[in-house]
Amino acid sequence: MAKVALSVNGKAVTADVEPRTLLVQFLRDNLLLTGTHVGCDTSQCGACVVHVNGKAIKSCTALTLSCEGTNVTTIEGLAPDGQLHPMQEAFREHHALQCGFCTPGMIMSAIDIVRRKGNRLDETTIRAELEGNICRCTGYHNIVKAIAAGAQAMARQPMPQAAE
Amino acid sequence: MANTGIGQPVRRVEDFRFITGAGQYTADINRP
Repeated sequence: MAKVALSVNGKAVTADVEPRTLLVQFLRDNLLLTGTHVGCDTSQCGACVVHVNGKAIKSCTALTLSCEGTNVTTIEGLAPDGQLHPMQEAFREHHALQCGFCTPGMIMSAIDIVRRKGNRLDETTIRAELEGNICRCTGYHNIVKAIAAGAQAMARQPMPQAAE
Repeated sequence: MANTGIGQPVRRVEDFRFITGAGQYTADINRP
């Protein structure tokens, strides 16, 4: 076992974990933050995307120990006081989800796309950037619309500070 | 036939928990 200390959704967390523990296992099994999903276990589906120091990563491909000292934000940390993040609001408005399994990863990836590519996103860019997120309800059309709208909403609204 | 509600889109009640990470799936069950 090894000690790890990091911040998850604004809360300091310390734990003893096996060195092989993946970040997604730590979030789901130790912290019971089950909003982060394991869809494929092979880094293809993107259901496990979280932010580490503001950047999107696939938490099924990161060791918990490698996140020592970082700020991790999960889907649960986006609306800490019940006020939805503009991207969450856009997903709801545009019916960008059916079963909801891929949705947390989609939203976390979408916010990172905005961080990297700006608030005015065209469909081609969004579709290319979503290569690492798979939706099995085939809801991409509305997801793309939601991300374009959410990106613009993020520019309009003062960003609710995601807990980090 | 105006304002009958028939054919009106309905906001899904389950979406809130799905977009906030509160959806529950079988993988979330802690087996003994």
